[in-house]
Amino acid sequence: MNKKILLVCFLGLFLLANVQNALALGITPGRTTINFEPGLHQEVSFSIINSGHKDMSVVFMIRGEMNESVTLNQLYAEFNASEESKSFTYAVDLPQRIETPGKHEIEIVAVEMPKDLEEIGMVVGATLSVVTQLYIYVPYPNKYVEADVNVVESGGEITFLIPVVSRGKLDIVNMEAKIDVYSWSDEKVTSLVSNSDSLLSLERKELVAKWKPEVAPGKYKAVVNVVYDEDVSTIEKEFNVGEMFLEIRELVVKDFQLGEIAKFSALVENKWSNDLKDVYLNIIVYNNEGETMADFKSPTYDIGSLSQEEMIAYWDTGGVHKGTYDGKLILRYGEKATERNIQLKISDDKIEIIGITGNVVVRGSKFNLTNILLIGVGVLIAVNIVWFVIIRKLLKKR
Amino acid sequence: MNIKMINKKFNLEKKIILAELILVIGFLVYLFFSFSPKQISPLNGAVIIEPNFVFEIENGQEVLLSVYENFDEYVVLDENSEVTLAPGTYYWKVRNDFVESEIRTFTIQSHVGLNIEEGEKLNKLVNSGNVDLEVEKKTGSKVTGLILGVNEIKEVEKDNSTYEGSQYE
Repeated sequence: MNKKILLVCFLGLFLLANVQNALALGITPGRTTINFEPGLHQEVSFSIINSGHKDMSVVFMIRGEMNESVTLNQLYAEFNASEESKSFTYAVDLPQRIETPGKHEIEIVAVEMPKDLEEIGMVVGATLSVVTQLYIYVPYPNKYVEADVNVVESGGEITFLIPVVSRGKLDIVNMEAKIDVYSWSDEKVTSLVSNSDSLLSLERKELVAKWKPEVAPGKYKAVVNVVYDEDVSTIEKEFNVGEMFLEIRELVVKDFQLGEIAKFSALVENKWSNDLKDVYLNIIVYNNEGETMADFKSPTYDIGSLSQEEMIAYWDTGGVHKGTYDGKLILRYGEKATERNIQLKISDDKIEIIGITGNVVVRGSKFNLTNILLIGVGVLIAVNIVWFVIIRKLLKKR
Repeated sequence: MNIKMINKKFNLEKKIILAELILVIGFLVYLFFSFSPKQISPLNGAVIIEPNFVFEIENGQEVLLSVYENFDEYVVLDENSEVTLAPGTYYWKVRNDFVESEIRTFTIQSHVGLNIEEGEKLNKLVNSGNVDLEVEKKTGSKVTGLILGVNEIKEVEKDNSTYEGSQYE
């Protein structure tokens, strides 16, 4: 009986300890790629990241169709809390021949374990493991490319970076990417063509196309056709143009009596060309000491694309005195939030809200680096001219 | 005024002009090096595994970023730019109104990172790496999967499940 109680206490304590400590584990690189060569021997290194900064053990395993081609130099490792990361290696020994062309995948799995596992004997609670993948590419006998697309938005311009890798034994004489951009409602917005280039067998190159979008902010889809000699490889990617943006057009309190429930009515505009779901308003009011006096929220609303919606939030003003209070108006949508500092002037029958439509203009200093340099050079030239003229005059006098 | 004196005066004027020229050129050289754009971080050849990093620069207004060493095509980033970069090697330089800095390179190395943070009723599964993750959840004999974007958080049951994260796509 005592043993049972001890075991339950022990398990309970361990469970508590396990839950209190967050689990965290990382591995880098997430993927290593090797092009097949008969009988290739290669050492590949990877690192385990102790992102939780704690004492732990890590057990390694190998999985996959060609797992016999990989030998781990170490099957188990221990980490101290002070150790940020540790490097390990595995050896890859490829056979003389692999029948099937294409990708062959092997996984090296790192499983996090408690450091004192041998003493505890078992793990209670969630466990984490991370994988570093080894992709072995056996070349296709013909022309074959694999492509991806990365979309970078900067300075109002969209850049489509299209890495293209030749996975065939034959060189590609000419390739280019044709990109069709579609709106969320599947209407074609624009068509673009990248630069063209050649590609040697097993080589990697990037194709680039640029687009200055003159469309409403929102989600779009790029359909990228990489045309290489007589073949095509198609990829699709969703991307954003601009930022998800909601604007508070107006915030008013109608028919107010101090001590009763105040109805805050906000007119909110969705400037994003997609519907936004679960949007809500959060109003925080601070007292004169800066402490939170009230914190109230509206229900959640779905706001259609490029449209306006009235959002309502209620505040019970029982016990609230007349006066001017600082506050904060937060509009939350997804992981984003629009925040405004406001002031509430509360009287017996009115709440006036200041700070909703006011604009703050930040005036940039004109003394940037260019101006400083130009002024510096100008002053130097002027000083030199004056100096030169004075010396010349003195010399003439002599 | 005899010829000797004229020559002496002429030589002195020449010396003054030369001194002035040296002074002006020296000042311009000083300005050029003092105000030339500099790259602070990432360091040349840096391998980045963090999901977020910043370009730190001095005396520059824009960062030029390219996948080509010869900057055939590049993206211009200013102070407010925020870009998502896929794992790979990138070249970058800084420019101001006058000159560009030297070219530096950095590599974003894929990092598979998975955290479980304790919540009140549910735990939070966090992608702490820099690539999208395919997460396999094993609870007893039941296996389910989910995709977790970079920095994405998903709430999960507090149980004895095993979570395995690997690079997605």
